[in-house]
Amino acid sequence: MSAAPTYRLLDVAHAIRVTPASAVDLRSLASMVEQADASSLLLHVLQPALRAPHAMERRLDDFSRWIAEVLRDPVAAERVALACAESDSDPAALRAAMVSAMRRSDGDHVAPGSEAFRLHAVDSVHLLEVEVADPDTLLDQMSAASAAVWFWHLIEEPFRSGHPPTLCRWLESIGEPRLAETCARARRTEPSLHSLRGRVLGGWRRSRMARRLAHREGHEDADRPTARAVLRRLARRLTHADDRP
Amino acid sequence: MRVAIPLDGPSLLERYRDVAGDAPVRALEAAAKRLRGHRIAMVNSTATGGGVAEILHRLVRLLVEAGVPTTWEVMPGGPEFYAYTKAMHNELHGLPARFDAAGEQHYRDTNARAAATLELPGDLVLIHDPQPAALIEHRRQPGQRWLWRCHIDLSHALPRTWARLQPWVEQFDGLIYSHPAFVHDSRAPAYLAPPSIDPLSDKNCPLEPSEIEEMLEPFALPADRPLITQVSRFDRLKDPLGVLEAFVLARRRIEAHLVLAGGTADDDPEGDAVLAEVRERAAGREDVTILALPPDAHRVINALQRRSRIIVQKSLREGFALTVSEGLWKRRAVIASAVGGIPLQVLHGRTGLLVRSVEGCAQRMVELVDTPALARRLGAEGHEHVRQHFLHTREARDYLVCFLVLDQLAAAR
Repeated sequence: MSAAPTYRLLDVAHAIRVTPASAVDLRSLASMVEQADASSLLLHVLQPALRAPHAMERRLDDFSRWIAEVLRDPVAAERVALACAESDSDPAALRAAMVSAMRRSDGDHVAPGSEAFRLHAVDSVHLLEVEVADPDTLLDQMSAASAAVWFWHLIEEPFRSGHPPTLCRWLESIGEPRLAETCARARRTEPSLHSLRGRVLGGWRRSRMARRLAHREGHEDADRPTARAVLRRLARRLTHADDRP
Repeated sequence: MRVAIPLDGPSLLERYRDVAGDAPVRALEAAAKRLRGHRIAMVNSTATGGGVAEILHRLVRLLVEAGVPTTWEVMPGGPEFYAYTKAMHNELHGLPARFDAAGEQHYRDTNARAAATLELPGDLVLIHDPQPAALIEHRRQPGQRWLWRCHIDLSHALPRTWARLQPWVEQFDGLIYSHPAFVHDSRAPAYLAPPSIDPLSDKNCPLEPSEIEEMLEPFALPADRPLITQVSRFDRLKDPLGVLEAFVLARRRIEAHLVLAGGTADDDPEGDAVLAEVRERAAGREDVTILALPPDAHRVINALQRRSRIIVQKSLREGFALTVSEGLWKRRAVIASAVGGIPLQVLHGRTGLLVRSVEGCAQRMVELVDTPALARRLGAEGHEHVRQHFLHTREARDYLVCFLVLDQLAAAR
């Protein structure tokens, strides 16, 4: 019998690399983005989330922020922001959507050289690696992990590979499709890494609690529906208890 | 010459952990763990005086304690060498200087001699600033990785001076700059590592309220109204007159007291004139205090920043302006110009407020004095931002990560 597959949980560090590319208007920005590699798109579109992991709202990408603040073209900025938000899981699609949004605008403002958009890139190195074999260990480890770990596994790794997160595929392969779905949904909908983390860990803890309750009530190896039924019964009991005078 | 870094006494890493929390220290340790088995040799041109030496005293020990054996060598030089490198330094800052015809040869010879005598017991070599940059020509061994760390603001560097330095810079495996605007074209990949502050230094360490009062007592600052403070050299580019003008506008609507504190640099002939002009402009105002402080008044500055409600940095041009991080670290609300490295430290509306004019600065002063809760929130977020991004632990980690990236690049070739 083969052992269940394990997952490599990585800690990651980033180094920001300066590239020679820069842009002073929408036209040169579009050309620059067309040539930009995935590392640059990752840095300028997705990494704002890592720069402010506790932000209350989704951080704007660097491109649309620059278009709004320096080129003072709010319409183009909104178009680019939408393109970034809708296509942020695949470098090629992102590049195409951004270029298309930039080229739809006829803004002709030119930034002074000192305020040019300078394209950077991000190089990632893996620091620590822990092999995990089950979701409990995974989430125990992740609950203590830095924002960079969450960023890598749910945002950077899928972006660089062009595939859904390996983490989600692993969770599905070990029989945890709901947790995989929670992770996949949270990465799309949560505004910050902090809230993403809260959503995934909170969901998992609630489901663990239900299973532990079920176990206590004698349902050995309770499946999820059984556990949820036990939790509902407990909730009803508590509610009735609260209703008593 | 090897600089001896004392490793006895309480662990520096643990002291950082106490002051800055576990996360920055753990992040450094994680990077250090990947470099186990490697050794770092740092080289600069002075063991005392100047920001780089100050940083290295801390950084070397942090790295050693984190598990990466690190040594620090100081390159010896003579008067001609220093005259040449000082001229180079000024021109890299954009100030034209006179180069002695024999200067470049002195530079080459000094580096060649140093290369013959310096111990560089590391496979990872980190050279700080232009003075020892030519060592690479003489000492590079196969398998070593060489990084050049430029602490200088090169945004106004004269092209002719960069051209003098470039032949050596090109030989490095990687370059590290403080800010994107400082980066110059070169073959080697350029990485960013912003400068950082030391939370244990006199300028930033925690102070008891009684000590703050004691430090500030000689200045008779009012206790019944919020202080608004700019700590900066009396230099036109720091715009002390603009701060005064903004304060006068703000005073129509708020009760507050302005402190302009700073010294004048020896190499800035305009400093005294600017100070005199500020004094003249503020003459007769009881709500303004102007303090010309000696260069070692670090604890006074610390106390002043901690006692202030608002820290201002209304520079017209800046390199990085670590005074901003110093204010944020003390949980103060910061109003600062959106120039140089300031926007990396002040995220508008989150960790402080960015302004672009005297009027904007005045309006923000009013807003922060009228809304203490906003000032507290900005200060709290600012402290956290600095904890994550602008402490020495992060700078040390950046260096380690750059070496790891170079290793990765070499392996991929």
